[in-house]
Amino acid sequence: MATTTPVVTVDELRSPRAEGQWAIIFRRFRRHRLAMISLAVLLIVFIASVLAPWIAPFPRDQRQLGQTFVRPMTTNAQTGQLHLMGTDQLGRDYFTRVLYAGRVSLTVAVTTATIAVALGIILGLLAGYFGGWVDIIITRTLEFISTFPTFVVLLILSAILIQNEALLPIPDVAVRGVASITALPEREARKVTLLVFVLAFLNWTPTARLMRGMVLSVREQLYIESSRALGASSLRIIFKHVFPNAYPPIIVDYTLLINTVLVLESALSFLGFGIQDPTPTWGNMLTVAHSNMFNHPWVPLVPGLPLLICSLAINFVGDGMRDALDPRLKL
Amino acid sequence: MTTFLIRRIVQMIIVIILSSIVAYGLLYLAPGGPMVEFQQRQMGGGRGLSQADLARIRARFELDLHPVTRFTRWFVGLPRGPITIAGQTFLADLQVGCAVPGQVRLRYPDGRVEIVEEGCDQPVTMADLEGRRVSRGILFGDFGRSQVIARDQPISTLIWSRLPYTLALMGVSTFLAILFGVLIGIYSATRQYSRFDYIMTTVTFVGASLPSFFFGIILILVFAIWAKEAGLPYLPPGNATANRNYVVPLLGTVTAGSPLDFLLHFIMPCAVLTFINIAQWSRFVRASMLEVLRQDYVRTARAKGVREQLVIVKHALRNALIPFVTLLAGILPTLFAGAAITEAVFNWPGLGQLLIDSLNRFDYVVAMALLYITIVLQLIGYLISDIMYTVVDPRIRLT
Repeated sequence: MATTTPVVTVDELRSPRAEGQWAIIFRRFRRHRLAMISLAVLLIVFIASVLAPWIAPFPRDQRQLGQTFVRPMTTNAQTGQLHLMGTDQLGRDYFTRVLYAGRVSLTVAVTTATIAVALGIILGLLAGYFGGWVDIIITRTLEFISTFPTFVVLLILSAILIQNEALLPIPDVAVRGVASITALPEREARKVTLLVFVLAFLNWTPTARLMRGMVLSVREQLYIESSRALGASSLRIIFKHVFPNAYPPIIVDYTLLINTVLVLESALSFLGFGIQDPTPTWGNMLTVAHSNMFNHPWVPLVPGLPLLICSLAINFVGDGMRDALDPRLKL
Repeated sequence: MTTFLIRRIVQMIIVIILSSIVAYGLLYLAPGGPMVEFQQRQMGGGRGLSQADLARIRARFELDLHPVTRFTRWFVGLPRGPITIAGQTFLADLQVGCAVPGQVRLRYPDGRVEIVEEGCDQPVTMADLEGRRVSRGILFGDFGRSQVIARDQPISTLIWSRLPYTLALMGVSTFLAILFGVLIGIYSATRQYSRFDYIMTTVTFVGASLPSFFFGIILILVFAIWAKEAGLPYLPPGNATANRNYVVPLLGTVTAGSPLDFLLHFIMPCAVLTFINIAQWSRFVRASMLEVLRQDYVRTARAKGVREQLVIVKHALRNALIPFVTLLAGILPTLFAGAAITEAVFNWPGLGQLLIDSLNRFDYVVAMALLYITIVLQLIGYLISDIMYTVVDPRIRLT
């Protein structure tokens, strides 16, 4: 032992810049101006849709006879109330429905992405860490699912399942949870929950593949070996060492998945296979808008713009996160 | 290479069989189907259908057969009936289904009576299958007959009538997207962080995240509705051809069904698909080019005094396009399946629209045929891309 250890005082050990990983990431994220603006926009939309039952000027399904397709910013002749975004084909207030629709669409997007990513992380960790037959089963399943054309299968699955709710038993707890988040009656919430499960089932594969790749590279690191030498259990190694070092790319993946699901759900609902009227989502509101746009050209913009704005904002946030998490990129 | 091909093709067949089972199971589970209508008629108190009528209808849609038998008849067209070898018939009495399910009355202690289907009153045997119409099997390219959309038409006719529209739309838009995507990608990569690069990365980023149906709707709004209102030349908003002649400013009268008519209808859906796909291709080419431009051999080429254009085209681009091949594999199924969403927005009579129609109208046999063809094409695409790898990059050997 010829090497000498330099003497370090306690003060020096506590470096003045002892900011945690998250603080660093957030500091780097803040430099991305577009991402910060997007985050703010998203927060506003989120809060507005969470507060929908309180700030919406009308009950969700209240129809007003003879008040169909009232232009935006006009007041109701009978009640004197303002229709901020006009009314739809049945005379329901668009602003109210856009708020509730945001609640449904965003809930579907976030819960689906969360379930899919959680599933992907767990399976990816198992496959990457244990290897062997666990890996073979999981990767074969991955490959098998990826031979299916996703959107075609999604169309078929939702066409079958959404129209026959009894086929797939879903726990009442999940339905009640979704019902309380989306402020929907339970009957409508059941379909939404079903769609969440279908979407999650088809979207966990990229995360699992990504996680597996990351775990494969982390697993070979020395610190894993040393902690195994110290007698740590597999569970401890996975959660204390492997996962913390493998998850950063998953965050970006998660953000982008939220957008993918948001767009997928609205596309499905737009085609009539997802969530259907009277439950409002931006997608199914666009269906009505699409068929009435010749007489009322402003209509598609009402549900379309929030969808577009949210989709872009989520993407910019994802982009900002990618830059913030990339250690090679100097910001 | 030969062993590789053999192994891959065997694997492919296994995957095809597996995924057909899954696909069939998926659609088999679906209640809906042709019987619902009849059952509703029965319950609605309308002219009642006799038990015999129902059995006949069930036989027509093969609903009286066991799932496994139905699947094999759909998949390979077997069994067709009892097997006759040298004048002897075998398996004539083998039960393959049930025409009239047996009913058992259950009387519970508390007085409730429930009728449960159990057993079989009138079994279907192999001998009954003789003379029934059966397809040659989807595996051999016979997709059976449509049940609802075009009653009793072979599904292949249905597909052939839609295929040209989808191929035209997807072919042209994919070609344009690759062309522009590669050009933009190269230009962005060679001028990284320039204004052009910045604008293009933003535009393609937006393009990649845009919900395509909303983009389509916006195009209709601007180029069909507003342009028409403003008296400018406008584009027709939907369908592939018009029903009657129409007048477009500057272009004059457009004859319905003429090539110009088709072209005008073609522009918007094609533009949507092209724009969305350009994003994907150009981002990919840009990243790949940036990677290659950093390599030593590019620097060597420049140091030798090779013209910059030549460096980019001959040294960098050729290597940058290697990973490109994997993406090309994905084209095959999309060329076929089309873009259901865009086709729906523009009411384009392609295969994507056919899929949506078949699902909406419970014509599951058509949906199954489309799903099956897409899966097979995807697998062929994977195989082609693996082979292409060795062609593009001699370092890769398939064993």
